[in-house]
Amino acid sequence: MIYAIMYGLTVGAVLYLISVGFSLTFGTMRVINFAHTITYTLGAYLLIASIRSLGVPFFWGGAVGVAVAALAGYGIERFVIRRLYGESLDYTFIATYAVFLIGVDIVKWLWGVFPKPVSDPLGKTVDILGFVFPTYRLLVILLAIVVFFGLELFMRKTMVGKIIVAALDNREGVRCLGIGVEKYFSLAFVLGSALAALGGVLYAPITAVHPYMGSHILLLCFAVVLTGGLGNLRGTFLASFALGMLISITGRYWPAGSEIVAFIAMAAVLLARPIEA
Amino acid sequence: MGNVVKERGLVLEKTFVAMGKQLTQAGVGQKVLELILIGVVFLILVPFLGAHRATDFAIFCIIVLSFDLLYGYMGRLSFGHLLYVGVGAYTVGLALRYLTTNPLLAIVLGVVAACLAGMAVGAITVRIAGAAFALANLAFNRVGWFLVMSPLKDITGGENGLSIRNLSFWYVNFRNPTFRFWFVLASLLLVFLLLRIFTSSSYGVLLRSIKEDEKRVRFLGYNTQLYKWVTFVLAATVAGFGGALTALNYGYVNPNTLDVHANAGIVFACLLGGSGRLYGALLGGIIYMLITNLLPVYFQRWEFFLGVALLLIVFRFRGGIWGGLEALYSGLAARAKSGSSKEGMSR
Amino acid sequence: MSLLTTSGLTKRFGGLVAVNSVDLRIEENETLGVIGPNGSGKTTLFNLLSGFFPPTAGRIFFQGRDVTHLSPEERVKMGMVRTFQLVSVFNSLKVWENLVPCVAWKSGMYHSLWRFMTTPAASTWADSIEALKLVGLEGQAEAVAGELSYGDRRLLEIALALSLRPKLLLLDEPFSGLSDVEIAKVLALLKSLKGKITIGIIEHKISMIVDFVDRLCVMNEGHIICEGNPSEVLANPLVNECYWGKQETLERAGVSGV
Repeated sequence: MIYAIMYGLTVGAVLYLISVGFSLTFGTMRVINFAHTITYTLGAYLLIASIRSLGVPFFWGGAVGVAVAALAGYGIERFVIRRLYGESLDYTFIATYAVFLIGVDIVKWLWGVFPKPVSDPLGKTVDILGFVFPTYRLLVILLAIVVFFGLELFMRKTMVGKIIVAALDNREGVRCLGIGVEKYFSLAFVLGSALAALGGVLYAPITAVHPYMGSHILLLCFAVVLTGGLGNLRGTFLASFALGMLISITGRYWPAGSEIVAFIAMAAVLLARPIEA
Repeated sequence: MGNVVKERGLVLEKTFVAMGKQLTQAGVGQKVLELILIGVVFLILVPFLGAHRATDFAIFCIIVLSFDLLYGYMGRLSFGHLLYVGVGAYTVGLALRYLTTNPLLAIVLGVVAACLAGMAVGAITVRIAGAAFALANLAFNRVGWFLVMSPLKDITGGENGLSIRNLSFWYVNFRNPTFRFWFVLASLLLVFLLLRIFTSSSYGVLLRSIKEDEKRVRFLGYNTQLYKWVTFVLAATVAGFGGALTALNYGYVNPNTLDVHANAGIVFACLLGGSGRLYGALLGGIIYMLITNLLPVYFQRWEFFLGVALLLIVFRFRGGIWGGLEALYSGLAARAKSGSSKEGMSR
Repeated sequence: MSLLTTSGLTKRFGGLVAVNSVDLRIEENETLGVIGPNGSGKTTLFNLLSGFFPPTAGRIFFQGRDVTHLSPEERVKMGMVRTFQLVSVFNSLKVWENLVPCVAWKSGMYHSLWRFMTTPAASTWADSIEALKLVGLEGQAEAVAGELSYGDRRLLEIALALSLRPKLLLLDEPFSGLSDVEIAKVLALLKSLKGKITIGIIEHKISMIVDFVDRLCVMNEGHIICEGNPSEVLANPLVNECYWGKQETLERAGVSGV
């Protein structure tokens, strides 16, 4: 049971890192960026590629993954999402889905379709009260918490953060202030992409890396964002861990249903609190 | 007692007569002509593709038509439409394996099952605004796929799918490709006719109003949730019909029928042909099937191609092929008009 | 008995109180003008009346029935119909098609889903044209609504509202964005309706509606500060102060400003 909780926390941490960016774009612009998780996939693959073919250590491989994925995120925002600003959200959805398809195919083309394993970069374990935990997973959880508090600080102390928070609260209101919000959204977007890539890098040693890993986790992110509340960053944090826990504990007793529970939770939330425009 | 039964019979009869009248009201000749035209197009396809593939094309067109009702007419983009295709197909497969030997009954069961699934999922997702609707439906589609793949593996056959043995019954023989073709073609024409009637009715205009501004429609006194739900269920039911036919056409069902990523194909076909136009859906369905049937044999980067094509449509060709043809036609008409008026002036 | 009354109607947005315990009443077949400077809560008040969003506190009664928590469509069914400040018609539809849902609604066709779904929209043509004649747009029935001038679209929106046979018609700044010629057209239309149905009309230029309404309500900062017949209201110094601002009151008093 303790191990299930531990696993749940790890999954929750990764889910949080990926969901933040999704939540930001969804909360501020109501845009659903299907390509969001392509940066997550890209992060994981770049990590593996740089470890395997360049022989760099895990840390630098991860850094390369995050940097390149952030760049890709910027490209998606600049050339796809921003061009469809103010039009039907469905077009943005379709366009980002198209980017997702292209991304998946590029990944397949470069690295093949088969899952790639990466080993635990630390390989050490910690002994807490008689339970043995891999240090790496503890680090992942710790990192997610650090990111959460970092974001809280960022949103509260910096001008950019304040504008983003205001936009989450009231989209039209901020636009009325005459602030060129696009610039800030773009920044939030790149930040979200980088965090998603970080999630991919961190999750790679725990799970199998395959081209469709992104679409798989995107739905979980969606469930997280809906459960946590639209544009509510703290809610996203809590919901990530709650759903991570739910998945992990259900998986222990009913392995086949581990993913379904997340969607059942989502459906319950939707029934109670439908999304109106 | 007998009287009540008789009365009920009369009421039923009256309803049927009224239904028949409405179905055949204005524009009968035009509708018949349209149906004949569509039939001829598919008959022309047969010598090039063979009856089996032409049947496949027609089934796909049914599915795209159902999607077009939801997206093209009502403006609600769903990325989980294949769930109902899958429900229809699996119900037919399971019904023929465990319940009945009559494929027609199995089709009815499949359609009813898809309708019920649409009612349940629609009740939740229809209330969602914006692009989240697309993703929520995708999530339900994934749950369906997942259910087939693992918890219900014992009866659905999981990854291996389900083969159907009882394909012939009485005069209905789904083993015969020619019979399948005619049966499916008739089904397509029926679906087209129904959707043609629905979309040109007051309800059809209401759907287009909802597409443009749902809130405004509420201030005209309509409970839009109800009509969105009805449309969703209708689209799901027709998609289920398509799924049921798929199962009978191939003689087996596998999880690919409700693969979440294949939804992009339907969206693409609908946009390619021109959304919000039934002919656009038909055209898109046929062209999409031509592309997938002719290209991938030599073509590795299918997803890349699909992605680029989708981006092109979204950025450049929103009206699709049918929309383009319409614009061309109205442009030519306007030119002809101004040309003739100029002539008149010069005289 | 009044057609519509509100008691203590209040709407808060965060810290802002947009409408502050308003007690409004509209009598049967009267024409009531609601005036006030921008941001005084007029549109919010109409949004509350029409069910655009629920009030924070207070109640709304229509024909003696509590409608506070009814949805917009249920209010329309009872006879409360509104138009919007920014013209809102269906631009992608043809002009006559805009009226199809309304005409179908009025004829009760929607009661039978099957009939609603199978009767061709064209069968409502005659009724749609009838409704368009009221506003003089029957000549443009086949045009796409988005291609009409702004003023004609305003007329179309009023035609939509009228085709629902309202008992109470709420007009949110029907003259905004219109040219003088168009204003005259809309005003003539409204004058022909006066006395036949109950009209509530928002306007921020007093002069526009002063000789047209039976009664005026002046709103400022969420309150109704004054109401009565137009000449009474205009004579009220409080109104002048909030409406024209202190500066202008002084100017009017002959004190030259800046």
